[in-house]
Amino acid sequence: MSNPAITLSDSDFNIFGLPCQFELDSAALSASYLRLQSQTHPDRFANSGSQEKRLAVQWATRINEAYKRLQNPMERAIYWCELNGENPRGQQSKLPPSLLMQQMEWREALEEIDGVGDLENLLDEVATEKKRCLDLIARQIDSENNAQAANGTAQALLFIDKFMIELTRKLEQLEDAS
Amino acid sequence: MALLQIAEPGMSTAPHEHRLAVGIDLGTTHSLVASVRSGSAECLPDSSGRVILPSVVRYCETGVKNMGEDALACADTDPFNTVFSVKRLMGRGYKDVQGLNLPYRVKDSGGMVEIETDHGTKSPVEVSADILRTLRKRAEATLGGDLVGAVITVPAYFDEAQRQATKDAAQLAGLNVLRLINEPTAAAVAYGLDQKVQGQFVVFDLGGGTFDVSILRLQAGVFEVLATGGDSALGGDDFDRAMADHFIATHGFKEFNPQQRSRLVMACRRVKEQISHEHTAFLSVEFKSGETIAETVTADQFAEIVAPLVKRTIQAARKTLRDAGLTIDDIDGVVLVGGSTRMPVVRNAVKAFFGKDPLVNLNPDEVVAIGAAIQADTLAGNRSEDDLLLLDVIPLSLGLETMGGLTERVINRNSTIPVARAQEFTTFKDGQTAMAIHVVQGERELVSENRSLARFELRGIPPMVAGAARIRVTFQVDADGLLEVNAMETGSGVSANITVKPSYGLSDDQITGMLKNSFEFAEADMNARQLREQQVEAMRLVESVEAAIAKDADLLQADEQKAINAALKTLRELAQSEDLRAIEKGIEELSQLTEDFAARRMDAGIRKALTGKTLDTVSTTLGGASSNR
Repeated sequence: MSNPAITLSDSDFNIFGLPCQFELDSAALSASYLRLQSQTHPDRFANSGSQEKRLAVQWATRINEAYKRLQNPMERAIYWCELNGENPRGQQSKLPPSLLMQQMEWREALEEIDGVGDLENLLDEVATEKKRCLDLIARQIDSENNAQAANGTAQALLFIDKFMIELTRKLEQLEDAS
Repeated sequence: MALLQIAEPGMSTAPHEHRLAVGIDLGTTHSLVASVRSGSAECLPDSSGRVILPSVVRYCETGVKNMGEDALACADTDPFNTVFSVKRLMGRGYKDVQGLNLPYRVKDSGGMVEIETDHGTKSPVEVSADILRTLRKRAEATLGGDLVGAVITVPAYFDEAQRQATKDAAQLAGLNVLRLINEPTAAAVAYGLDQKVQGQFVVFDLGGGTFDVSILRLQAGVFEVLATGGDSALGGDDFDRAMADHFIATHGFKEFNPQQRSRLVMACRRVKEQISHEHTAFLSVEFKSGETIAETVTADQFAEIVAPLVKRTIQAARKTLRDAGLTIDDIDGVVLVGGSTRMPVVRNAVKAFFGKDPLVNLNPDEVVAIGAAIQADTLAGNRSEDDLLLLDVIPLSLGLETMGGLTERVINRNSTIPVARAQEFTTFKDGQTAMAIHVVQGERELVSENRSLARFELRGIPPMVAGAARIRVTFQVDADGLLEVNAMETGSGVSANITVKPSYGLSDDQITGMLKNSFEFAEADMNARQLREQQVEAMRLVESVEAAIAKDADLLQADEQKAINAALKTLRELAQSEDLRAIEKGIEELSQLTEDFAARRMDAGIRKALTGKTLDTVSTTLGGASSNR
């Protein structure tokens, strides 16, 4: 056993045996997840002592947490920023004026919407912008290794994501009402 | 044909002996117990050969109870003392159950519900425990020994309080709960293992009183629940009641006592069952007052009466599909579970929505118990390790009350369990030394519209200016879906901790009290029971450590192994003794001694997972992590 033990405080990437980067082989991620859970899930320790049971709960919890984060591209990018000394969720630095303008336009569009179709169009538009930001952050992380630039993009993503959640909720309300 | 049982069951020491474990489907209208025997799971019949136990208990003169069919036969004549559909009262508050129109008397007891029979009050937990005890005894008689444990199923949509109430009932019935699992997941296990299927499946489970819809991904023996939804207060009973209400309205009856209502509902249930395989049914009820209802009900008429209920099930299915991030095209199959899915009106709606014929090859009444039995067999250690793994989710979001009566979500619904999450809060007044923590469950913004789970206080916060304290509240949900909340002021380390139950559940003291009061466990029995539990626990630990050494002795230094062996020998001897304290101490010592070993084994398991290859997976980037950091 020459390698140091993997601990609960290791990075998500390390626990899953994946390179610390944005691009990710999702088949490898989910295969690792299932194998890790097969080893650590509390059901595997139903007949063990309380010590091992506790350890199993801790590990299975940690693996679920990491899996959820790695699966979600935005969360994965934010996590990479955090590992590299940035804090996108913390103090909001200045968002680019173009994004602020766009936000205002979107909000105005939302005010005027009354049908499911309109709402779906707006949702598509916002999703396209999210996709653009994700492509950008992929470059900033994997090609440029530029944590500061990635941090700015991550903050924009958080902004967009919040708006999308709002839109989805509104869409559900409209659908439920119909 | 009973097999000869050599060792004393439940106390077995041989590592490869078959341990007796059961799966129990504790249903609203009926309950079943199943077990894996000679490799296949089957429902266990009572002495008359019936596998279904109606979930009905009749409380007669002090201490005497009728169960199942015997109790059901009295529902008409003794409505106040015959308790059915008690599952609808589990973990519920008095306000929640107002619309149920039950013929027996339900009263408010400090926010909780109690049933007032002529022979004393019963909590829903006690009634459920009576049902579980009947099934436990049936299983012990059939299998020929004590059970090491049971897997009990609950509707996926059951909230925290309902789950805790179920676990309490099991404890009261003398069952060791190996795990609470969700009914649709159990059904999927029964189907999945039977058919060796892969892909994404919907389990549509409409029972007597609850409705669940779950979406699972099945691959390589892993059952991963992607999303779950439904309605914990919608089931076949509602179809009966909707019909009864319809006829009460159309016949213009004004005065209707509980007995009359109960008669009419029963008659409607028979009509519903008949209409499931015929085009028409005849509804005929004669009341003591002389009034009668006599008319032919057609399938179309029935479909019209229950249409709003069917619509609710389909809406829930649509929402769950969205939560799973899937569309109808992604679904490989739909499994129907629960007796109420026998209704053609339900089947047709499911078929129309998913565009496929649902799978119905397993008996919908038995499939949940069968799945639970398979999982019980796995957890008891009778199956090989890599056989089966269930990854389930929590059905409802968990959160805290914040300023202005708003809910702050801490753990989102459909998170895979076990799951933990911490959130930081702060004080809002200068010098504030205590903080009230109110734990809620549900999806609504307003706390008042969600379910209140527990309240507790963090005291002893050092006085600071408003906003300076850092209070870290941690939620941990275990593999049974049960929540524990911990609050800590991170600067001072002051902490408070609660296993969530008080608001609607029973406290540990109440359970102990009930156990003592039930004549099955007199005081002396209680002590004997405790001793026996610790003896079993000691042997379980010995066996598990021995199995671990047999597998991973290379992870131990010679001196470590020597010390562990000595502790093993001591505990093995202690387990035969009657000294409760000494056994507890021995368990503690062996646990401490093997702490490092357990951690090393876990580490080895994780490494194995990362280097392991399975046939159906694509190559992984091994070792990439360390070189990239």
